[in-house]
Amino acid sequence: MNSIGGVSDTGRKAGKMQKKITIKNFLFMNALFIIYSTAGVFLKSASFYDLFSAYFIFYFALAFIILVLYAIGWQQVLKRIPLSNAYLNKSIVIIWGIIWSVIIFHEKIDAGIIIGGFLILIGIFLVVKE
Amino acid sequence: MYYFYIVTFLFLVLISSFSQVILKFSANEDRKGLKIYFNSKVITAYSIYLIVLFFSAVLYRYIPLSIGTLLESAGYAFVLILSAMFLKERITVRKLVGTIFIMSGIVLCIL
Repeated sequence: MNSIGGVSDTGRKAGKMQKKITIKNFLFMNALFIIYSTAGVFLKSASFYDLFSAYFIFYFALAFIILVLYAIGWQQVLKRIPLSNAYLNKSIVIIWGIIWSVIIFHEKIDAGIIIGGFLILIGIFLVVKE
Repeated sequence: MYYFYIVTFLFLVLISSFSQVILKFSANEDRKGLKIYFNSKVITAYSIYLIVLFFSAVLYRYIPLSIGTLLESAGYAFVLILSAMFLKERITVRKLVGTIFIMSGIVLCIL
């Protein structure tokens, strides 16, 4: 699910400040997006098992922990990077999700997904860009 | 049946967008100390989010991860529309065009 807390007040205030984005902060932000994208992997993994079975709970808990860590990390990102910029970069999560689906779950990616994904990325750019 | 799961997944994305708007309502209120994080609105929003998370794990049984990831981006469009409805935020033409792009992209990838 899309992350919660993305429109927090702290973020909005940080977004108004113009800050120079260092390579370190940029890498931190992208590392966080990669970690965040694995939440989907764990949710998908949980879905292979019976509801409330030990494995289901295990993978679901992992996804939950990832999202809690992400929420904390996101606040740190917003202290260093303007909200609109960070939100824009967040669209990379879509690409990570598709990469994991191919590498881990061997899903077939057809032209519809690639073109659709491309349209979605343009759409996010238009919606988020200040 | 596939489209039923897709629509249900999109509905979950809509619900989680609602919880973001609830969080925004909470952020707009003047609170101090721990009340910023622990108040009825924040707790409601996160509870809804946890329930949505659970049902999305259930739905992933029928939906590929690649599609699920793309469906989640509908959240950008939902949050925009809900913020206009409930928070009276302005929708510019560019944002509207962006929403149309997102929705067309989703339609294209589930066909």
